[in-house]
This record gives sequence, structure tokens and C-alpha cells, in this order.
Amino acid sequence: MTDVLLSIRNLCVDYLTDAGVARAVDDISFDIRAGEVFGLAGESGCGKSTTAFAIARLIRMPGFVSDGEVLFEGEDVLRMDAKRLRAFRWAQTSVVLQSAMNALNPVIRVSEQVCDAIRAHQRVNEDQARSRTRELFALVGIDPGRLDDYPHQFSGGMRQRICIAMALALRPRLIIMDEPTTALDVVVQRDIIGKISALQREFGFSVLFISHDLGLMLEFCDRIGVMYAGRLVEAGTARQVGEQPAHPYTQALLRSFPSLCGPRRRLQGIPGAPPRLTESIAGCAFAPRCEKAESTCLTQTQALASLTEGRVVACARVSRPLVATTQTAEVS
Amino acid sequence: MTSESALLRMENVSLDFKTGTWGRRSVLRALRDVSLSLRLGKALALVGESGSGKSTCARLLSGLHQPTAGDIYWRGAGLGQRKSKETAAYRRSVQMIFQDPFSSLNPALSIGYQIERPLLANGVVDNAADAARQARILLERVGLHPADETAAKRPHELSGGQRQRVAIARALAVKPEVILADEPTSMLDVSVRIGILNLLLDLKQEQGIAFLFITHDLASARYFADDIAVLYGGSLVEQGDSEAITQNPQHPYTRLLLNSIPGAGDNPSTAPAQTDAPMRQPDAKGCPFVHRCPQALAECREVMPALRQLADNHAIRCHLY
Repeated sequence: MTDVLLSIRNLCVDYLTDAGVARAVDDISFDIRAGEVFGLAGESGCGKSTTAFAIARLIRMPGFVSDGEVLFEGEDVLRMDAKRLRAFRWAQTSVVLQSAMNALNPVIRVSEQVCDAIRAHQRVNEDQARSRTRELFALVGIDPGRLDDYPHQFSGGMRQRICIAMALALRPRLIIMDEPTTALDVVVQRDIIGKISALQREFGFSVLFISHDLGLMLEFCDRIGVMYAGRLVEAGTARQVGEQPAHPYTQALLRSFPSLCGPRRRLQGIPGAPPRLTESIAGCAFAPRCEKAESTCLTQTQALASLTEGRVVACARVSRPLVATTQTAEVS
Repeated sequence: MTSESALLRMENVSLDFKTGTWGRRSVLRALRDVSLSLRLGKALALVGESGSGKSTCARLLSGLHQPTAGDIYWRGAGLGQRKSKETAAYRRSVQMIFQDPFSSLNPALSIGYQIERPLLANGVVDNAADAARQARILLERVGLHPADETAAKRPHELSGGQRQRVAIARALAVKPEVILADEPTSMLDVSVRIGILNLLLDLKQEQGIAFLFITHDLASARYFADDIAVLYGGSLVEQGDSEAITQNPQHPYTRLLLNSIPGAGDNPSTAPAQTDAPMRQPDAKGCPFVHRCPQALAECREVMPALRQLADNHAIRCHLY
């Protein structure tokens, strides 16, 4: 694929804890193409945010990247020196964090904060930065007359839109969004996602979208990767993952959401809890909770294997011709 | 929904909060003329955006606030004129489960102790050995096997889902008749949420406990609750059977809410981007949703619509009906 923007190769991130070294991200590889919205789904603690932070070089001690490459248009982000990194951040990759409430400084006017971000990375004078800020506010649908308000004068949804405006400031090729709507109400969430979609179509940037809400991802993302206990267990287009989930974890996850329509029946959920990352896991990390697990699942590491075009899954029970039998089982 | 069968009932309750600092005092009406009733073995879900007054309702029902107007009735008797002895009994019968299982348990005390405490303090059992035995039964009941091992642990050794189960066991310890659950699953991992909801469903069916289930997720409201009440800006805008509310929503706000859920609506939201909280002065006129309502009429700005009955168990506060 020639239009790959970001390529993550065998990325590993470790955290030093009192209980030993915890591997938060374990040998992850995936590509994000230009103009694509790629989603990383999974429960809290599965390593999705850590992956995003590693891409932006934001991991701080006690965490560190222990292996792998993050290739942004062929250049390894992990090997950039301070000067190159400064040029890379914001101009090529920007970040929108989870809680807009805490991302903005409460005692500084929002205009100043956005201008600051622009002037830190670009040689422009104050007036230019300010007029750029005005444009950005208009883009995300905030009255430019409120440029000089303080963060507390905006609602949560508006603050999140200001953070998005800030991320757009230098027209980056990639925006990392770490649960951008989690703290917001569904109505506001719909509004923000609609805004991001429209901007994304207009400017053609790529998005790495991180969320635990699979329903939202299926609607918003082009492709989805599902993580469990630091590993990528499945990846494919949103439609493939949503309609024909291959990994037992994805299947169980999709089954554990109550539905708004259809019959009201009892759901099962997933028994047990995710493993502690400080314990080394032999075999598939999901095996103890998996209803399809065999004894070999507990001992053999499951590598990602290609299922169909552009589709990978890490499960021995699927990679075998079992795919055909599960489908016929559903039909019968 | 006849008021006679109601275990706990809120009638035309309003609640004002004084806000602002000296010199700039103002009054905020958090709830306006809200009536709800909780029935034996049934669950009522309260849905609405943050700041709509959901948690305020639970705090009123648990006695943490006193209503400014209206009253709360427990088994038909008003709480306004109760005696202290009755208050103690009421507090025992109405228990709460909070959103955050990481802060609702004392990190320094063992799980066993935290469940034995309310058993002894409320006189459910009268000696330590019985309390320990009863605590083990409760832990088994909420699915924390083996109970002996769990009882010896401290909260930090448990996962979020397990801690929430402990919080449920602690609420169950005093044999409550009503449980007020304030977003009990929203802090939990998606894969364990349904397990907690199933546990609460079992308790509702087996022990006939009445639930007030506060959530912002309409799908889990439908999964768990028999009735749903939709709050907007401190007013109850629509209330009725779970199926009626989710399959046949009538109020423009309920429709907006349902259409905003990912995957539910194929049509994009038509509501204006204005997302400010509505003005909530006590003397505010008209419907609180009028500023965002795509179908607002002239009278919506002037008069607060009355609660109108659409069907047997479906009521709405809207001038369009």
C-alpha cells in the first residue's frame, strides 16, 4: 500500500511498577492510511491510550517504549531528536485528549492558549495567530466573538471543540483522538463526531480514534483494531468487525451491549476480568474468559494471521477453516 | 401507575439551590414539579443529560436534601413530619449504590469489615460471628467467590466490577426495600457492565427490591428498567413504560436523545448545535427545552406545559400533544 501515512511496527511499551514490569502494549503492528479514520477499541487498561501516547512520543517514566518502530511517512518518530520532534508535533501530528475540562488552562483566555500553540510551532506574529484562531473557531462552530472568554465560560462540548480547533491549527496530517467524547452527553457527542467527520472530509487528515464505545466506532471509523491485554486481537474494516466479528473477544464484546430495539433478552456479558499485565501470559490472554478456548489456547501464543483481504485476527480457532463452519452453524 | 401501589413516591417536588457568592446571590431551581413513584420489584430509570437533575432526585429520595416544595411519601406517609426513629428505619430501607466504586469503599478496611459494619450497626445481627457469616453469604450472593478470600482483601486488590459488587453487597446487608443506583455501571469496563446489570435484575426479581436506576444510556435503561422517566433541565418531560419510551418516543427531547445514540438513528441530528444548559431561575417561564426544540411554538416560551397522559402508562409534558 503506497498511501500509508503511519506505520506501527512491533511496538512494545512497558511500565515499571512495584509489582514488576508490566507490558502495556505488546508487539503491536498496524497501518493508518492517508485520509482514513482508524479506531482502536478495547477495555480500559488494554493499552489503547498507551499506543496513542507512544505514537506522539508522550510516554514518560515509569513507562518507556521498549521495542518497535513508529514510521510516519517512513521516518521513525521514536528516533527523532528534540528539534525534529518539535517540528513533528502539532505540525504533522496533533492530539485531542479525553477530558477537555482539564486540557485547557482555567486561568488563561482560550484565544491566548490557541495562539500559543500556533506560535510555538510556526513563525507568525500575534495578529496572524489571532486571525488564524478566529478562522479555527468558525470552523468548529464557535462564535469568534467569544475568543477572549475563559474556559469555564464554555460548556463541556464547546471546550472539546476548542481542543479540536487547536489540534487543527497547523493542518496536521494525523490527529490522535483519545476518547474525545467520553465525558460528554450523547447529544453533544453526536454533534462533535459530526463536526469531526465534516472537517475530516474537508481537509483529508487521518484520525487515530480511541474509544471503548464500539457502537460509536462502527459508525465513525473506516477501519477498527480491537485490543485486549496489550495485544491487537483483530483488525478489519468497521463493517467487517461490526457485522462479522472473528475473534471471540470481539464477538463477546459486541454481544454485551444492550440493544435499543429488537427483543429484550438477557445478555451474558464476559465472565471474569482482564489479566494483570505484570503477570506474564503464556498463550492467548483472552483464553481464560473465552468460551471457545481449548487447552492449546492457554499455552500457545496466538499471532495475528490474515483472514481475508485486509483482515487480521489472532485466534487459532478462527484461522483454521473453522470460519466456514461457524457461518454454517449460524445459518442452521 | 396508581399511587397506592407505590413504595416510595415523590409528589410535585421542587428543589432550589442558592448559588453565587456574597453580593451576587442567585437561586437555581434544580428540580421543578417532579413526580415519581417506585414500586415493589420494579425499576424506574431516570435518563437525561448531565445537570438535568437525575442525581438530585436520588439525593432527595435518600434524604440528603429537603424539597423546597412538594413532599416525598414512604408507604403513603409524608417524610416531612416523620420522627427520628422513623428516619432511621427509612434510611435502612432506602440504600444507595454510587457511580464510582473506587471512592465509595474505604481503602484502609477489609471488604469483610465494610460489610459486617452495617450489619452490626443496624442490628441485623447481634454478634460478630453472625455478622461474619452473613457477610460471607452476601458476598456469595453478589458473585464474589470464594467469599472467605474476598472478605480478607482490601478494595485495591479488586477490579472495578468486583468493587461495585462489594458496594451492592453492602447495600443489601441491611435488607433494603429500595435501592437508588446512581450510574452504577458507567465507570466500569464494557465487558463487566452487563454482569452488574444482570445481578441487579436478579435482585429485583428475587427479592422484590424497588430500584431507581440513574443512567445516561437509554439502551441499558431499557434493558434493566420497567419504566423510564426523561428529565430535561430539572423537569420531567416524558415518562412511561420502557418500551413506549424507546420504541415510540414523543417528546422532541426524547427523540433527539434516541437519535443521537450511535447506530440508532440513520438520520443525522437536526437539533441546533446550541448545547448550553437551559436557564434555571425559579421564575423562568415556558418549557426548558424551547431553545433547542425544532418544533417550538409561540406558547412554549410562555407557559410550562402540563403533564398529559398519552396512553395508560405514557405521559408527556409538551404543547405539541
